[in-house]
Amino acid sequence: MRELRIAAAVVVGLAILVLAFAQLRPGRPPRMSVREALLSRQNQELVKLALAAENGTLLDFKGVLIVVDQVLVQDLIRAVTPLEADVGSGFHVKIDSADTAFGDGVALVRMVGRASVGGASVGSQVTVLAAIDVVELHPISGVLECRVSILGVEAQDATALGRNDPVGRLTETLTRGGLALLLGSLEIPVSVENRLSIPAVESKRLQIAAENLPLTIAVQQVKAFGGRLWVFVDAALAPSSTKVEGAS
Amino acid sequence: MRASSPLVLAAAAVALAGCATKTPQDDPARMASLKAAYDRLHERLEKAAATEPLVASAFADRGQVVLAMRSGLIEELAGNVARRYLDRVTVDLSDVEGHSSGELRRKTFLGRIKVGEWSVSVDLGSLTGHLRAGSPRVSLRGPDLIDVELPVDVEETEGDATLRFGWDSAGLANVVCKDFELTREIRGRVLPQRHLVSGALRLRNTGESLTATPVFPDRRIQLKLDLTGRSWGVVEAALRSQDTSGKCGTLMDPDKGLVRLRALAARGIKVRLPDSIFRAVTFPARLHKAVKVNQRTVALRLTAESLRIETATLWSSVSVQVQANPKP
Repeated sequence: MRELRIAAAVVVGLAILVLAFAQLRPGRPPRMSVREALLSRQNQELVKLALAAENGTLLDFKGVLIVVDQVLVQDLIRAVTPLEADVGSGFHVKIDSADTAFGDGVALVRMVGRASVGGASVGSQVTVLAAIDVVELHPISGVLECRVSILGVEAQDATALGRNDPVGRLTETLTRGGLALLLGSLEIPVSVENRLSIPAVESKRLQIAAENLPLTIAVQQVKAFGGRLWVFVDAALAPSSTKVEGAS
Repeated sequence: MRASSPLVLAAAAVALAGCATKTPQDDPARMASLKAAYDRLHERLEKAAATEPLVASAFADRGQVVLAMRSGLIEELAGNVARRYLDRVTVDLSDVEGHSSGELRRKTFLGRIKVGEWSVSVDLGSLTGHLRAGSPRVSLRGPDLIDVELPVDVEETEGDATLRFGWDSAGLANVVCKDFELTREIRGRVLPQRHLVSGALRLRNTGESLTATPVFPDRRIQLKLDLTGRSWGVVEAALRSQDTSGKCGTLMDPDKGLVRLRALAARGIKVRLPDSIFRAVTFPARLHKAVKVNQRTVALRLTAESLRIETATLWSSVSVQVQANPKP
C-alpha cells in the first residue's frame, strides 16, 4: 500500500514537472495576450513609419502608388459575410461582421462571429484579428490580391470551445490554412498590367498594327497608415524602349 | 478505489497542466507601457507626415482608391507612345498635290502690263514618305496635359510623279502667244529632312481607367521635294518646246519657268498627317467593376472623382461603392 502511494506521488510529481517545463521552457518568451501582441506589432511598424516620415521617405516611390481606403476593404469583406467554414481540428467558425483599421502600421481586419467545436450547437463568440500582410499582383490579370494572416483570436467563453488552450488551438488552426477556408481570397479592384497597348489603325488608307510596350512591374512594399493601405508598385518600360527626354 | 486514487490524481494533474496553458490575459503594466509608446509613435508619425507634400496630396482626394503615377513614369510612357505614332510610318503621298501659280508682267511701250498667268501642279503619284521618329521631349503640364515635341526624320525616297504646267495669255499677248498646257511624267524625290511635330496628350480619369488622348492640332509638315536630274531635263525641254514663235517664246522665259519650279520644290508641299495615326491609349493601372472576395464576385460602382498633376505626380481618385448581392 505504501509503495502504491509512493508511486502515485512520483507520477503526480512528474506531471507537475512536465507542466513546469512546458510553462518555463528556457528561451521561450512569455505568451502575450492578443491585444498585447497587436500593440507590440503596431509599435514596431509605427517606429518604421515615423522614421521614414522624419526622413522624408514615407511616400518615396518612382512608379505607381495605389492608395486604398480601409472602408473599401471593410465593405468588400462585409459584402460576403457571413463567412462560414469548418476550419480544421474540429472547429467551425462563422463570421458575421468585419471591420478594418489601417491607422497604425498594421492593416488590421477584425472579424467577429461564433466558433464551435466538434459539431456542438453551442460555442463562443470569437474575435479573429488578422492583418493584410502581403499584397501581390496576379501574374496574369495584374489584379491586386491581398494575403491575410492571423494575429490572434479572442474568445468570450473559451471553455465552450473545449479544454487544453482551445483558443490557442483555434488560432493555430486558422494560421495553418483555416483562415484560407474562411476568407479564401481578397482582391482589391485595381490592376497594373505588364504592358501598355497602342491600338491598331485599320482604315482604307492607313494600316498600323497594334503594339504592346512591355512593362516590368512588381509590388515593392506595402504600408498601412492614415486609414489607408499604401501599395508601392515599381513600374518601368522594359529596357528596349525609347529614351525620353523629360522637360521637368 | 483507493488503489486508483494516485492514478486519478496524476490524471488530474496532467489535465490541470493542460488547463494551465489557457489563453494569456492582458498584463496591465505591459499594456500601459505599450499604449504609451503607441501614443508617442503615433504623434511622431502624424507630425512628420504632415510636412510631406505627397502625403498631403494623397489625402486631398475624396475617392476610396487613389492612383498616383510619378512624372518620370508618365513621361517615359507618353514619350514612347508618341514616338510610335510616327516611327517607321510610311505615308502614301499619291493623293497629295502641290500647286502654285502667278502672273507674268512685262514692260511695254504701253507701260507694265500683265501678259499672262502661269500655273504649275505636281501630283505625287507613287511617291511615299518614310518617317522615323526621334527621341521625344515630354513634360507634364497641369491640370491634365502631357506636352510632346517629337522630332521626325523623313527619309529620302523616289517615285513617279506627274507635272502639269499651264500658261494662260492675257490681253494683247493673246495675239502673239497661244495658251498651252504641258503634262509630263517625271521622277520625284522626297528629300531627307527633319520636322518637329508638337502636340499634347490630354489625360482623363474615366473611373475605370486613365486615358491619354492625343491633341495635335497642327498635323501638317512641309515636305521638301526635288526632281531627279533627268526629270529636270524633261521639264526644261518641255518648257523650251513652247519657246517658239506663235507660242510664248518671247513672253514666257523657260529659264524663269524652271526657277519657279525649283522654288516650288524647295518650299515643299504641305502634307497633313492623318488624324488616325495619333491614337488614344489607356495607362496600365486601372480599376475594375468586379472583384473576387472569398470566391464570390462582388460588383462595384466606380465614379471618377479627380485628376490633377501636382508634386511631379499624376493623381487620380475614384469613388468605389460595393453593390449588394455578390454572386457565388
